[in-house]
Amino acid sequence: MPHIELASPVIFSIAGLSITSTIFTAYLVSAVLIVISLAATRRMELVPGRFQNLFEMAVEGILGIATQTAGDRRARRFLPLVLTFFLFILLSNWMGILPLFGDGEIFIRHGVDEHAEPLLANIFRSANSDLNVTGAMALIVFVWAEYLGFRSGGLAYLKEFIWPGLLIEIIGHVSRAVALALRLFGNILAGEILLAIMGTLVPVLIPSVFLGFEVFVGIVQALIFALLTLSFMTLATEHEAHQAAAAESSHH
Amino acid sequence: MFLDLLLQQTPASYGTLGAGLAIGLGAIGPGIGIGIAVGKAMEAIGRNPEASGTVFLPMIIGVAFAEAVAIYALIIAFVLSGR
Repeated sequence: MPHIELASPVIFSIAGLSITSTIFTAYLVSAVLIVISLAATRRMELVPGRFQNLFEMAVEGILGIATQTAGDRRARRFLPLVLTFFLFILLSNWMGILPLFGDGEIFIRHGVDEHAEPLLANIFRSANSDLNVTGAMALIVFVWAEYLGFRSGGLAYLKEFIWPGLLIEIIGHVSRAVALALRLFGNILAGEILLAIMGTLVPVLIPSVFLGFEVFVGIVQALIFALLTLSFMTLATEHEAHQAAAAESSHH
Repeated sequence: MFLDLLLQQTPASYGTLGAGLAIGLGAIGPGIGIGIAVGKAMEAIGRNPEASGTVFLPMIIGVAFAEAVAIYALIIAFVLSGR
């Protein structure tokens, strides 16, 4: 039976900074994303080629969804962060189910266990199957949404925390960020385990069905993370939107 | 006989039992919730097929919220079985 550790192993360390396999994969995903983004936008043309067209489709798709939720102005303002999360999570989920990623492919020795047997660790592992990676992204969303809320609402935003319920609002804000991190982590880790178990139980044909399912899960989870990021930031800036709407209506 | 069986268990095996119970019971609620959400969404799309685009996204977000509960149960199961 395959065994998947919750904690990802440290594969090497630079100047005391431990690099685990998931962090290494996250850097790899970032590098791939930067390279293909640069390649897609290097020679932009009015009539896009195939590659540019693919990126325009992603940007316009997310922008269209964001406009439905947040309105035109805020959608354009929040798009960079939301789209970056979407592309990063999508690419790392889809790269995570490639053959070389995950259990039993490329190993590195990282010490010995108590019986002097060498401990082996995978170099590549799906980046979001580590709570540290998803937790870091959720922390960015949390801090940024609270900052936006305070900047747009000021004291009125802080008042929401104190009145009517002192603790309820704080718990609500923290727990939704925690849920954001746990949801992505749990889904991707469960997918990894599902694939590993199906690969040992029925090694023929059946795993390919689940691979297809994981492709679907990968894009749905990326979309959900991006949409929830957007809706947290939208909720935080409601004051601003009301003021803008009021100014608009009094102006006319 | 049943008492013997209970007394033979080590604490670790109760952990395994707990892990199974955690994910098994924890999946019931989200299962019902997702079923209701998707069922209602399909009903809405059936009544008004043009609205499928606007119904689909809120449904996915709602399903994600319901699913998160099952994911908590899954993580508890991992923690229990890892002991």
